[in-house]
Amino acid sequence: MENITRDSDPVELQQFEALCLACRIGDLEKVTELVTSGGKLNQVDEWDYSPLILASLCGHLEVVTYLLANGAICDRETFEGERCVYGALNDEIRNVLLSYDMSKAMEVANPFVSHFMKLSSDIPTINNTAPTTKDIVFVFNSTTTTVRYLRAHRFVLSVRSKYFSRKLLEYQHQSTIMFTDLIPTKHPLGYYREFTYVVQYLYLNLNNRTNPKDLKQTRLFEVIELLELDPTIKLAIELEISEESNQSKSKIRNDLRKDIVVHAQQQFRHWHNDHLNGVIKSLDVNNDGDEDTGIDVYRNMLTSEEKAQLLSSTGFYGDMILYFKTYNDDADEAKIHFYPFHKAIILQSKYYEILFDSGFQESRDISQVVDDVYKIVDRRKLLSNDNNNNNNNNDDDDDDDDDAQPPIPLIELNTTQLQVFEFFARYLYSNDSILPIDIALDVLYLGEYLELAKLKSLSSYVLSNSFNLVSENPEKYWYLLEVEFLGDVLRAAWDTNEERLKQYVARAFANDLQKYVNTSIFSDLVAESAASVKDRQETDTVELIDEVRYYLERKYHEKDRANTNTNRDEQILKQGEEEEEEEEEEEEDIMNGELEEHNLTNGQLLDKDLESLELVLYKLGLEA
Amino acid sequence: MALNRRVKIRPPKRNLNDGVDIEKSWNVLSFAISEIYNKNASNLSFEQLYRKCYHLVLRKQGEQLYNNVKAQLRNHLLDKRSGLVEMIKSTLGSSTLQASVPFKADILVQVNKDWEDHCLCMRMISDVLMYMDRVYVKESQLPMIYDVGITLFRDYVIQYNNNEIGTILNHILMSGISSNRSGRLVDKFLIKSIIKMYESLVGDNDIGVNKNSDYEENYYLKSFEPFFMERSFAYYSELSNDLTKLENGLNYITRVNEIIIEEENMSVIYLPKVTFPKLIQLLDGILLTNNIAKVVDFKDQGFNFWVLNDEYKQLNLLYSLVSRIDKSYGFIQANLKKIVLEEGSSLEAITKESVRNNVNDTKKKRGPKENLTQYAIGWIENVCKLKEKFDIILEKGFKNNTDIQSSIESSFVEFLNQCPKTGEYLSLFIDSNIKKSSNNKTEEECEKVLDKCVIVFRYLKDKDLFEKYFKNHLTRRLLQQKSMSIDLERSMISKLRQEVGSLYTSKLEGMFRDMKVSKDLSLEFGNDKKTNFEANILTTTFWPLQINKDDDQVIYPDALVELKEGFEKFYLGKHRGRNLTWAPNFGSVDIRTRYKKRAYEINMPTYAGIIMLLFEYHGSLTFEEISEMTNIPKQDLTRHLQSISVAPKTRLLKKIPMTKEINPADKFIINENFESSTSKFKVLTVSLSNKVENDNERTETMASINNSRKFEVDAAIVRIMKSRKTLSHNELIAELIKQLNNRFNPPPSFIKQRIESLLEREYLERNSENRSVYTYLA
Repeated sequence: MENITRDSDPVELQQFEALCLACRIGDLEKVTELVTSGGKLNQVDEWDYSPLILASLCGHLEVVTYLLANGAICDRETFEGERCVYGALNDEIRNVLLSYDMSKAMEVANPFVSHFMKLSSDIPTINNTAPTTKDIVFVFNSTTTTVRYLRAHRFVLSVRSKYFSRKLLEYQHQSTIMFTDLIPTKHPLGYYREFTYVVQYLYLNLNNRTNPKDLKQTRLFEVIELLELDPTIKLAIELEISEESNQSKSKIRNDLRKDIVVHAQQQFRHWHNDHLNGVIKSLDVNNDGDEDTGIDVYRNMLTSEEKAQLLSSTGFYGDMILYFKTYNDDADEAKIHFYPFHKAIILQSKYYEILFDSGFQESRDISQVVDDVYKIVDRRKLLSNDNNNNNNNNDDDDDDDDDAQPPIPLIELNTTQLQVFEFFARYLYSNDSILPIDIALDVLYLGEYLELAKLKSLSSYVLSNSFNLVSENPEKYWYLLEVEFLGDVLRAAWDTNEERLKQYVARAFANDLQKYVNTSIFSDLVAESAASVKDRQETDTVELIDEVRYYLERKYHEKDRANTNTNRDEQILKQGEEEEEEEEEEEEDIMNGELEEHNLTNGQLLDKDLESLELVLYKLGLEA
Repeated sequence: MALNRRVKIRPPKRNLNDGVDIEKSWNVLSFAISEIYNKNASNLSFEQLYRKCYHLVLRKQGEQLYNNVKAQLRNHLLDKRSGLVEMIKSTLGSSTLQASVPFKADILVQVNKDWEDHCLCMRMISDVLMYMDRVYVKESQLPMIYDVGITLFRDYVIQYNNNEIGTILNHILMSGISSNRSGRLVDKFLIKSIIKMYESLVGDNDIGVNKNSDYEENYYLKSFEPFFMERSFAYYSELSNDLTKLENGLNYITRVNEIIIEEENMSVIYLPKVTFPKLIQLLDGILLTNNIAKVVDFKDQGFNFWVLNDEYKQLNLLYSLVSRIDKSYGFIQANLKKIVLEEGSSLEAITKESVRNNVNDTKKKRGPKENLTQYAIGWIENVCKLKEKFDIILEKGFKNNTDIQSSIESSFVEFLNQCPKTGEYLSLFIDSNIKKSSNNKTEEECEKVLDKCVIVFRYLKDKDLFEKYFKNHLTRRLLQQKSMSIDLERSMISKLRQEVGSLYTSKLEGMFRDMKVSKDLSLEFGNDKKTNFEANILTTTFWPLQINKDDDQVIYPDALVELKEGFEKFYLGKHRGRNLTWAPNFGSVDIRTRYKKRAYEINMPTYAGIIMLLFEYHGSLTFEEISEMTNIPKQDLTRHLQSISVAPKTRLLKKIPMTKEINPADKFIINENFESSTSKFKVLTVSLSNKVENDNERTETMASINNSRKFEVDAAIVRIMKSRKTLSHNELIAELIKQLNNRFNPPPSFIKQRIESLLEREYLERNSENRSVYTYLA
């Protein structure tokens, strides 16, 4: 772990210290805030305390759990990890710590990594009948009858290995590769374990159970050289083979693994950028306003050749088509955009997992393209134009249609914005989480629709940091603090049950209450918030009002406090900075006896704000 | 301008869908649900349906949607139910719901099919309504739609109309199970799948508010299991009655065993794990716990019969059955104990009978004492046989179960110690087996018999009593050289040593040592004097011999005096300071003499020899004269005169008058006409072999035993107190009993008496504060 006091910039240092403090006192809210805003979890302070050690030492179970769930590493083979477990205040915390080993932390921190690991292992045997997303199989035969297979995804191989990005082009029309074509050898079976081991690294499966010391090292490095891999992979494998103690390996291993993941993400990002722009197919349609005009119509908008063409884009190896509609400003004309995609990638969303597996129309095509022998997707079947004839035998229902469908899944993405699609694709393919604020709300809803929790929290995070954007670039982002926008955000927060966003809006209202309190949108929001409680009693309070009150009191209370303002509060309160500074100066005067007058000022401000809230409630008939 | 921007950043879908027709969306979903039931799902678009649900829920229509779906499912299930009821009625005819419903597989197949279809459809429906489950259902803490579907199936298909279909199914299942029990072929896997369905049926009645009930009884537990248990109880109760009526234990346990195995195998196939222990408990209760005691009482093929006839197989089976209900085998233990005690006490009669038969066979007249001895030997032999029998039963029938073993042993202890003479009998038995020429057993066979004796010995409580007899008997065997082999004797001693420790046998071993030393000494002395003289030097404390002062007064003939003094000189020269007392009554002499026809070499007891030598110088002597001239105690004199003048084969002297009794006035002369078939023979002394004691002797023995017990207890108390210094009364008694366990069990009153005596003699004193605590006085 890095020690933050060295080579680090003051802002980061300040943030890390705030995080450490929050972990000491068990302020989960603050910890959440700091972690989501990019606080470094796995660093140590000048006394070698990591946030996790502090939380565990001070006995804050929920903070410990949160830190672990968000990627804090507790590896018993390191000094910090052992110290953490050793120093845990109670058994409960210790058990939680022990339940998260290093690998788990990595996966939890990075759903992208865990998804790829899952992909690598989805079909270990040839007997498994579940549909697969793999589309190529390596055959290791031997002079005896023993044959072993390794299945993989073409796109993963060609992204991760330069060698395969070239080599696989030769296999456009074949779904099997004899291993002897890669390395001419009399005993291809002898390479099976070594090759598999290396391929696991391509899939970011970094906790491979195979001990590389058991492998034939010459063959292992032969494979590594052949595939032209990211050099960190070679380093990582060399580390595993080396005779160093596990403890000393541990630190280097973590760093290398981080590098491998980062590199993989870069590779996917570049590859994705290279391919995506070239392969879109867009068509104009009329907006009939009927949301149900869906798959049945759009399916037939492309001819079989056009679909096949979309998927045959060189080096992309897509196996499904994702489409969505966009509208022009008047919402009377619409465009349909078709993009090739990978089922393996889109399955990161639980929604699509069920969609492909539930026995409805969408899952119909899946089994048709599976190669019965190797249990992989046969791209020839997928792309073949002759499919119509073949399929008719299997699927009588299609006989009624004039135009029978090729077995290419055509799936809609529930968005109407190109930008949203682009972000979505970037996110799924390369774990890119740079989310522009102007699509954050849409992404929030998309995450809700697709049950992608990470997307939701990402949007919430981006939205609830709008203060900074407005102060940095008020020209561009002025609308972020307008009541109309905040209203939309709050409604979205209610719809998607994003607690942090609700808090954010309440805080924004409290910061400048007089600006919002008399708008009709504000009173609408109060009414909606009140209505959300079923069978309202007179004594029930309105959630929104309660929260705004809370932030009001906090705001004025914090102003009262001496110079203990945290970094964050300064940010929040930048708008009234000048005023505050005056007050702070005044505070020094308070010490000299002008106490009463000052208190009145803040108290009066608070009273005024509270009164205007009462007024809103009164008008709505919610409180006497 | 502001508006434009907002439009851009707002999710446009919402705008466009503001007009979403709730009614229309619901209709689409409703149609989809029927299509799913019609198995046309592959024509439906998942995306479309999901989106409808998503928008409805987002538009706060979750509750409406949830209830609509529920209503539709309910209607659908009611339709299904009507179909099923029709089908059942046409299959069963009018016999619906009568006590015995025949097993109709068709009905089960149909129900199972409907159920599986329902589950499949519910899975698809819940996939489509996934968003509702995730948001509305979770928020309102309702059961997920899939669970609702399952509960509805129970409420509107199985349980509807007063559990109509459920009751019929229960009866059909039960009759299937009954058929199976009586060996008819039934599709067990069909039964299994219906029961699996039962198990899945959980949930609150018609989905009220879920009152955080973590555990809900499923339909199987609620409805079928009690029914099943009740029917099974009735079935097996009847069966066990029928079986009991046959009064055949063998039949009973074999059938019960079969039934249990069958039922276990069956229930593994179609019953859930929870029922298994309950069912087994039921079976065990009805078939074993309630009835097992009756098995003993069956005359033919009952427990007693099997034990007495060594039916190991049956016992083994019974054992394994009893192990199901009672791991300590109390039932078997109690009954075995009863049998052992009965058998034990019947040994007396059996032995007497066999002795009587023996007497009748040989037509020999024997004294009552001899018969008693025969009886004693026979009794122990029978005890050994009995023990052997039960050992085999234990091994073959009860898998050497330690509980049962100890129960058998304690039974033996009990009946062996009921008879106070056991110790003596045992010693006699050993004597009879170890004696020369008593039977034709080889040494190995004898060893085996001795091993059994050791077991009987182990069960004896009064081991010191046995020791006393054994010592007496051993003494005779040693001195009269009657043992078959010394090795055998030694091995007997070592067996005893293994059993109770070397303290117990040290004196016995001392006896053997004396014999050995004496032999060497005699040899050395004999070599010196060129005579054949054997002297046994017996350490007084080892040997149970009364030193008779009168023996010292015996006047020896000159020939013997010379030898006697010579040996005394020889011995005391070797061992200074020792005291030799002669015990002529145990010795013997060889006399060579000539009668009319030929010369004889006669071995006779020393006393007899002394008497015979008198006649070298005297022609005729009266009893009084002999007594005067020899000083032999009168009792012994009578005995020896009897053996050389009355016993028919060894009438070396002629008694005048010729009567059996010896009177002081009787005259004795050499019997000139004496003849014997052999030139070498032995004069036997009357009543010197080991026999059962008569009552007087017994009283004497008991008195001496009691006396020695006094010393032993005293010694033990002093030993204990010396090491412990202070002890409470109870602790002392406990320790004492532990120490003396190998010898006898002193009664508490006896111990108290000894303590009192030690207190008097000031070995101990009572603690002044606590009267029940003793202190050792050095």
